[in-house]
Amino acid sequence: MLGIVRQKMLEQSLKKIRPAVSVLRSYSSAAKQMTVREALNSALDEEMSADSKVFLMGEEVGEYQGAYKITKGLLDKYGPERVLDTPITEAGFTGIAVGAAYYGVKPVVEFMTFNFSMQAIDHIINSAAKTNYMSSGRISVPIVFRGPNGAAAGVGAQHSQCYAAWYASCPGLKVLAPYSSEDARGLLKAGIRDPDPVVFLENELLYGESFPVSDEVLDSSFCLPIGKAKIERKGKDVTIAAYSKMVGYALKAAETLEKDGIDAEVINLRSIRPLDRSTINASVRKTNRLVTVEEAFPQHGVGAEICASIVEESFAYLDAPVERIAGADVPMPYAANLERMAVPQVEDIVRAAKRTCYRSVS
Amino acid sequence: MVLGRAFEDKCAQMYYYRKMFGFVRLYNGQEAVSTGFIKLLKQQDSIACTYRDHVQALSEGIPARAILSELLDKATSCCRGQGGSMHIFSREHNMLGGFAFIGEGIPIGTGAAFTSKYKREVLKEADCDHVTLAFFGDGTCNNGQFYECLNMAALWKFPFVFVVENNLWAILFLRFIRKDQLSGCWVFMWMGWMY
Repeated sequence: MLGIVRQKMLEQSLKKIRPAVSVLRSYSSAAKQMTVREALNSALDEEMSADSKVFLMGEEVGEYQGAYKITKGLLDKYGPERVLDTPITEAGFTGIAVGAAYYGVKPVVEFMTFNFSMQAIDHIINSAAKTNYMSSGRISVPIVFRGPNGAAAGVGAQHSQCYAAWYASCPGLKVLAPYSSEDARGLLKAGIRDPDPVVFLENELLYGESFPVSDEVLDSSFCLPIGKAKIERKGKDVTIAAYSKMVGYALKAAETLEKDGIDAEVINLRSIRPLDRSTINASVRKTNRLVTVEEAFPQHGVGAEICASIVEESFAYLDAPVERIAGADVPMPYAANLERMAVPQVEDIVRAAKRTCYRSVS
Repeated sequence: MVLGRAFEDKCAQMYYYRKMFGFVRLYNGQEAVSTGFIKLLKQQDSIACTYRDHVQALSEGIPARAILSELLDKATSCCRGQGGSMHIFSREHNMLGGFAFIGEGIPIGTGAAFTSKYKREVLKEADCDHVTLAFFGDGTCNNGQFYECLNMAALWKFPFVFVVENNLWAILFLRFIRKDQLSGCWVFMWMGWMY
């Protein structure tokens, strides 16, 4: 009894000491905190500053400072010739941006959400993705299509779809899905510098989230390789592969699983096309169990592709059937309780991981 | 023009001899339109068209042999057999293609005109005065992208010319049969000049 009181007093006194300790740490190499919004804004700013061929185009990107304030301050800094507020004509302005990219300028096209990209999908696929091939390599299209993707909060069926699988199935496109601020900065810079069309799928609910970023990430030449996944958490019992917001959920699920003695390895895919098959397969060969997590519709999704890749390359290493967690196979409902049920939650990931380990899920 | 007609006639012949397959759209009877326009262009000016693009490609200076090789699936052609009849691209001749969906080439051409203005005003290439032409048919005048680009080209003052080739057909639909067809079928040109 006295021991517990003494322990609690020790904890409390440690809590008082801790702030001083972290002040001392800031003099060495403490990580700065940066929101995903700030990461994207700074990446756009630096790339536009470094290369005058880079310009922005989209609805509300200029005077309104961006529908989600991602392009804040850029109109004032670079002027209306480089930050273009377009009319509400996705098909038209996307085509214009692609045509401009044929001539070597580097548009960054913002879709207010990727649901609106369906109005322009002909230009993304037919005019941008396929042109390098159709012209036998003579015309390259250095364009980036970016914007929020996937479910937000209470926006209904026509504003909540995840387009990762649709775009990732098309040869000629690169499809990136950042999770943290480091991902957002590094992958957007890589996408803008890339000579091929890049679809950059952000997430509205992540914009305000803060992540620690090192000095290396803050450097203006920082860039992440396209096609390389990141192992966010090393583990040995089960591999959980996710992208975008679901990486955060997978990490929370891993904490819960740890209490039950299951050591999960969490992979942040970062790049949906090209998919980092070698990292995922290497991880599954180590853990022998796989759970894929995505917010999108289940049929023909990213999880399905990963499962196929594992079966093709690492079948003999599997100790349990692959588990695929995805959004419900239904247009996103509006009511908050139904919306929660239509999107994967941390408990769903925990249950799936336990199923692969043949543990009781109750 | 004569080369264009001879070329298209030869394509028809090759098609009937089953040397050519798939979609091949011929330009017989329309040669005067594009030939006349393209004759006035400079080397650096660009064009974009629909799938009916053989004669525009010839007028731009792409060798007839390169285009016919493309239609006959030869690797030595202008696009190594990867584009086909509907997708003739040439970087050096500034031919932007060749697009399957009608109306698809109009925004692409508008983008090329945008680049001309961007190079002049932002990248400070003072001698850049390239003009872009988009060729398309009367049926395309029903397409939303046509109106979207008319709006944006006028709004931002692009050096762009919309050329409507009124052949009275919209895919397989002959205009005379339906008198109440929208006014987009009239021949007109809308100039979006910079100055």
